[in-house]
Parts: sequence; C-alpha cells; structure tokens
Amino acid sequence: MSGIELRGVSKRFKDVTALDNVTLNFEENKIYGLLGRNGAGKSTMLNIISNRLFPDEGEVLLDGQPVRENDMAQGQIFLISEKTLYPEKMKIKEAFKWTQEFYPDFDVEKARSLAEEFGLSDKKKVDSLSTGYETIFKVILALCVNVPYVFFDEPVLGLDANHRELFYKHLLTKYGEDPFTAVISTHLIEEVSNVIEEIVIIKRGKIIYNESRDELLGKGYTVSGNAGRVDSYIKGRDVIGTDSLGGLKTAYLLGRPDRGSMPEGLELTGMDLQKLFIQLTNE
Amino acid sequence: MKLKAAFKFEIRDFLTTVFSVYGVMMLINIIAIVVQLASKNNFKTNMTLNGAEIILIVTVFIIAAGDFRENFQMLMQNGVSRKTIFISKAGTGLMFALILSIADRLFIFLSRIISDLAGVTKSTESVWIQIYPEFADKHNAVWSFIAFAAVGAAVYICSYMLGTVLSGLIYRLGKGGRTALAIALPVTAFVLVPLLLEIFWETAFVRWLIHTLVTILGLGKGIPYPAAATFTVLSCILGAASWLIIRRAVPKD
Amino acid sequence: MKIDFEDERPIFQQIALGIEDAILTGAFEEEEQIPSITEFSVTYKINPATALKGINLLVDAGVLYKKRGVGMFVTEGAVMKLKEKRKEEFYDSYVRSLIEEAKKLGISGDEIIAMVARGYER
Repeated sequence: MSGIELRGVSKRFKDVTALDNVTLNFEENKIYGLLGRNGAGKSTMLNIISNRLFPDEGEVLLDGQPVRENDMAQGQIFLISEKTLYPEKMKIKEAFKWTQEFYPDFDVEKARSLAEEFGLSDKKKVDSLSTGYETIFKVILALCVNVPYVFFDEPVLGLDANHRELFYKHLLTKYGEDPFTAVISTHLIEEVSNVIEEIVIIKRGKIIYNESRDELLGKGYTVSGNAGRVDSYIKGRDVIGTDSLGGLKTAYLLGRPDRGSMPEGLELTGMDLQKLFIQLTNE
Repeated sequence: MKLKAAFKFEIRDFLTTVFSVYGVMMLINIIAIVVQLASKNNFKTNMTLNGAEIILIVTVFIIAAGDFRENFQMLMQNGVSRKTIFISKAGTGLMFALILSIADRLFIFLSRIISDLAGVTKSTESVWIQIYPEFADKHNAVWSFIAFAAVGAAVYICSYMLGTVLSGLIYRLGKGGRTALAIALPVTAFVLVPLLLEIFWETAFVRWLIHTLVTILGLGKGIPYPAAATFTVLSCILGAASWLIIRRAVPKD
Repeated sequence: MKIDFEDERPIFQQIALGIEDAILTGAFEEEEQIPSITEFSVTYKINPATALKGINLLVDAGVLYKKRGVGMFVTEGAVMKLKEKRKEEFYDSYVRSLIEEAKKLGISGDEIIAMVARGYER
C-alpha cells in the first residue's frame, strides 16, 4: 500500500495512554486535517511517524517499508512542531542552507523569497525570533522542503491574520502546482476546514473519525429561528446541540434537511463543524 | 545522503575552533620567546608550554560535550536516524583524532624550529616526550612521529567519546539524575578516591593498581604502545556506551 | 463570486453557481478560458479537490469543457443553456423565498405585484 500507514500503533507515557492501537493511512497527494483536543495524541502520532519517538506497539510504514530508524523513508517526511530544534545561534539563511544539505530538494530561493514576503529577515538568529516569527520560519521550511509527506503541527498558532492568509495561499498554490501530502494537525477546526480534503479526528489516543471533509459536512445541518418553532422541528430528530439567546434558538442536527419543505420562519444553514467536533470529542 | 550531511554538520565548526587554539598556543610560544630574548640574563625560563597536546585533548572533550544536545536535535529535525547520528559522531571523533594527532606533531616541530632560530630554549614540549623521554631518545624522528601520533590519536578519540558519553548522559537524565551526577562526579573524584587511596595506600591492592596502570600505559618500559592500545580499547567501550545512550534518545524541550 | 461558508449548500455547489453567474453576466465569455483550479482554490482558500468538484458539475452539464494541457473553457452556447436552466429554477430560487419573507411581513400578493411593476419601470 502506498502512502504512510500506521498499524496498531500504541504509545504510553507513564500511566497515560497517548495512542491506543491506531490504524490509519495517509494517502498520497491529499490535504489532511488531524483534529483533536489538546493532549488527544496528535503530536505523539506525528513524532512517531517522523522517528522522534518510538511506539510501544505497532509500526509505521511508508510504501510498505518501516519508517523507524530509516534514513531513506525519513528523507520523504518532514515535520514542523512547536519545538524548534534548530541551533539557537544559527542564522535563518544558514538554517535554509543546512536543511538543503539534509533534504536536497529543498528550494533555498523560494525560502528566501517567502521570508521576504512574510517579513522575516534571514540574517536573524533563531533565538532572536518572536514566537510568531519562529512559527513562520518553520512554516517556510515546510513549504520549501519538497518532500512527499509534510506534517504541520499547529502551523498557525501565534500567526496574525495576514500571515495566516499567506500561509494558506502558499500551501494551496504549492499543492496545486506540485501535489504532495500535507497533514495539518490543529484544534482550530473552522479555519482549516475548507482547505483540507480529509478529516481525521482523534480523541484520547483513538481515531474516532476518518473520512472526507465533504462527507462529514454532509452529515448535518443547522436550523435557527423562533424557539418554539425550532423545538417542534427538532422533535424526533437527531440533535447534537442547541444554543439559546432569548427567544431565538439554534439547533445543530445530524442528517439531511429537506430544503424544499423547511417550515416557515426557520433559517437553514450548513453543518457547524466546530459544534460537531465539540460534540464528538466531549467526555 | 543523510550520513554525509550529518557528518558535515558535526564538524562544521571544527576547523575554526582548532585553528584558534593552535593560534593561541603559537602566540603563547612567541610571547615566551620574546620574553626570553628580552631578558638581559637570557635566563632559562620555565615558560614553556608543557604538554601542549593536553590543551587540545581538553578542547576536543569540550567540543564533543558541548554540541551534543544542539546537534542531536538538529539531526532529529532533519530526518536523520540515530544509527546515522552515531556513525557520524564516531567518524567525527576519528577525523579529529587523525588530523589533530598529526597537527600536534607538526606544531611542536614548528615551535622548536622557531625557538632554535631565535636561539632560545624550546618553548613548547610535547606531553608524550615528557612521559616517554627514553623512547624519544632511542628512536629516530620519523618513528617517534608515528608512535606519538598514534598514542595521541587514541587519546583524542577517547576524549571525544568521553565528551559524547557525558553530555549524552546529561541530556538523557532528568533533573534528578543530573543533580545526582553533578554531585557524584566531583565527590567521587575529589573526595572518595583520594580518601580511599590514602587509607589503602600501603596495601597490596593499591600497589597492584599502580602496577597495572604503569603497565597499560607502558610507563615501566617507557614505550607508548601499550597506552595507544589501552586508549583505543577505552574508546571502543565509550563508543559502545554512547551508542546505548543515543539509540533511545528523544528530542526534548 | 463569493462563498458563504455558513450556507447549507456545499462549497463545490457554490463554486459551480458562482461560475454560472460569471458566465451569465459575461465575466467569463464563451470559448474563453476560465481561471485554473489552483487559482480558484488559492483565491477562496478552499481545497482544490472541492474546486474541481464544482467545475466538474459544469463540465457534466456541458457548460464548461476541458482543453488538454491548457485548461477549462466556457462552451459555446453556454449562456443560452444556463438561462434556460435558471428560468426553470427561478420559482424555487427566488419566488418562494420572496413570498415567505412577504408573508412574514404581512405583504399581500397584490402588493408584491405592484412592487415588481415598480421595479421594472426603473
């Protein structure tokens, strides 16, 4: 099987089970959203795939070959995480140069131009960057490394709106011109939901959802309006949550609405992914 | 490939550091010579760089020790397996050893020439000649060169591996372990060992210990070969230890 | 063309509708090339597969066609086709919600007709 395959991967830290028998496949050339609450196991999973941590059970394969301690396989994988593992006193432009040593397809020219676009001076040292710019530095690395599987662990935390927009723009441009597999791990669901094609939801170390985003979005809808009308509409229907503001009520439902026969006075909108996510991942 | 890149990364500051150290040592030499020349009585000064190689052995130890965390994390970020990290470190140690052991001999040769030209007593002395003086007298320059370079190389690799093992241990141990190590090491070295030696000085055990040390360092016979062998074996042991430390290391905050 | 992420209709459908609108208003002309999938995805920050899905809807409907190695083009006669289709959907798309809103506000059928007449005079 091509792609990156996790088979029965488990990982425990003292008495906490971070990953529980995870079986999952990241296919070629797709953008994935790896969604989960803080501490759900997302980072642990990514660290195991990139050979930073070892699983207690199970294995990770790339095109059928184990990725563990495998230089060849790891040459096709790149992970950026909240930890910055580059030497503190290294200049950004040196960092680009060194990354190219390890990943020969790294595009230094593109990195320099992205740095300029983001407003990052490449003469600065890694430890002199603010949190936001540290993230930008890592994001630039990930956008220029040119390997088939790039993992982004919380790539937009700490980025202002302009930089976030730039990130998505460059991610999609690169993906459009030169498809690869991007896995964005985040708990900011709404923002990434349009950019991703596949959704994997992880809760307490277990995969609870693994399908396409369109399927998930198609699973439900939202109605809002007068509280009384909403209540009568939702009778007997699969409700995942409600919000009330005075006499105005909003209900989040599973299933498909009949657009043609919606009762008067009720507004119909799409599935609220965040609400669904909260519902699915609540204790 | 990753190994080549890892190796290149490990040695990135090597040349500049080493040049600086040799540069400083040469500077000290020149100062010593100048002092001698300037002094009216042309007194035989004690200002010699005794055991020049010691400085570099310590430098190598410091390089190996200081870079562990930074290098390990950088290599982890760039998809290098721990196997390859270890091999690149071993290769680096070997390379340092070979280059420095030869550079040492050349440095000492050079300083001797300068001192002779200036007409003063030599300002630098090799630690090996100081430990094995009869050997230097008995053998020709070429053979001394090779023999001292060999023992120097062995000590260099050992120093490098020791630096790697110690910093690796410190990296992997948690706060508790590091505190324990920080206390245990100096206490053992400066309190326990002297105490034990003092108590058991007259005993057969200590005599045996000294005898063994003399033998493996070849001091009794005045030859450097046993020392070369000993430090090589020690390097292998330390190398194995460093592999055990690296193979399960993970990136930390 | 604007995408309403809150809308109940899937994004790919909205893309298709947006392109249809552009064709009808002449922004995209017949036998002319339309922006690439990458351009759509980057502009609206959506996954290219979604953009592709929307475009494929229109290819299936004969409104767009693909020129290999070049890109997507508007078919000849697309405007006519779309007008026909939209006329059929006019009642459901507009009239129904118009009447709904009018009922909410208590506007009678006759008042609506008068309003429409007034609108056409402008």
